[in-house]
Amino acid sequence: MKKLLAVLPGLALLLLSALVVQQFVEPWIKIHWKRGFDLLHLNAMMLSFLWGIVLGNVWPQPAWAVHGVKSSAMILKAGVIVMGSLYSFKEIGKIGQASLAMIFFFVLVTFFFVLWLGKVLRVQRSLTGVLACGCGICGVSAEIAAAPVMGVTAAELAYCIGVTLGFGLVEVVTYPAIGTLIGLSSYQFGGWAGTGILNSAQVLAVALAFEKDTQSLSTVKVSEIFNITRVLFLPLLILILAFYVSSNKERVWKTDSKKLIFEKFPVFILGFLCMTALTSVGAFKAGQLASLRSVMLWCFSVGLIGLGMRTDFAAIRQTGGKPLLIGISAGLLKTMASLVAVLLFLK
Amino acid sequence: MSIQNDPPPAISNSNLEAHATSLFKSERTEDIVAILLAAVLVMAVLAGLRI
Repeated sequence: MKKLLAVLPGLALLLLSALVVQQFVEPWIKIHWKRGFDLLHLNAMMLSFLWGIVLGNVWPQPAWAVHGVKSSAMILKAGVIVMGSLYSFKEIGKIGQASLAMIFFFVLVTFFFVLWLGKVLRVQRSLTGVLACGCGICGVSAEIAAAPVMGVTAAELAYCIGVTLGFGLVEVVTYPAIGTLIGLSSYQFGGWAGTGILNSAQVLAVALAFEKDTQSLSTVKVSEIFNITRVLFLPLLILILAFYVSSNKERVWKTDSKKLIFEKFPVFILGFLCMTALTSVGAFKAGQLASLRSVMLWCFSVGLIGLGMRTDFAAIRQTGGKPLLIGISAGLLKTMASLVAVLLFLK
Repeated sequence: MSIQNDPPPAISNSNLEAHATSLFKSERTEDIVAILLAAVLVMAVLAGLRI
């Protein structure tokens, strides 16, 4: 209860900011800077993220807001769960087939590329393992999940997160503009964002920014299926990492494999699938589905402001050296190769 | 196999470490709280909340 109360002031700040962005800032930009709105996709979602960065970096974050801001990752997940109501199982199956092959390829290639590059550059094994997981799967969450297996310190983990978020920040700003300039369809852009962008929350930010169809949310839906597919690879890669660092591989296989897979399974995906099941059996009326979509967008707006506030430039500036080089190399490889794959295979 | 230690640069403040700390005990706890929050929101919509 004490923790819940501690979250409320920061949450109120996020909600108020989301309200200001949606009701005042977005309409103002739409009228006064139409070109920026169209090319840079400065819609409410992108503005929420950028406003969060301003809030978090220009003014010192008040102590009373810290817990609420930290709850933003959870709020984004709640939004993704509610988003499950917008899909049918048929749709998930259709997008899932395309995503599975691409994600399988890119997750494994990026993961082993980072491990290889780390070995070539002689970066310590634990740091490389965490980076491989972050760059290969879904950024921050994957790095947090890999940290105890690789035995990194909190500072080293934070360093890996800084590398991923720093590169992701560049991706958030550039992806929508590149997608517009080369004329990607919603399906292609969703696939590209869900595969190429390193961090899950940033996939969401980019897809919401690019979204052209605010009713069916087609870009966001495709990007999230791609993102969820790659998150499902997390337990497998953690297991591979456990083998990678262990000197007793037989013990890992016999005693740790089931435990690791169970512990690292992202259970919020079950909530997402429950929502899809409820929609499939007709549990929601049309008006309720419209409200659920609005609830979801509010969760995303609030969550993205919090994510922006947690993007600390002072912290990211501290990252450097070989691990940063690995992160940039993996991010660029993934971005460019997935763009080619999307143009070739997603029509 | 020769693996040398190449630690990250010295960290002079706690900002960077703050990124790694979560509000929740574990990722699993965060997932469960997110499911509960989503359930509350869905129940509110089913009970008549319109946005």
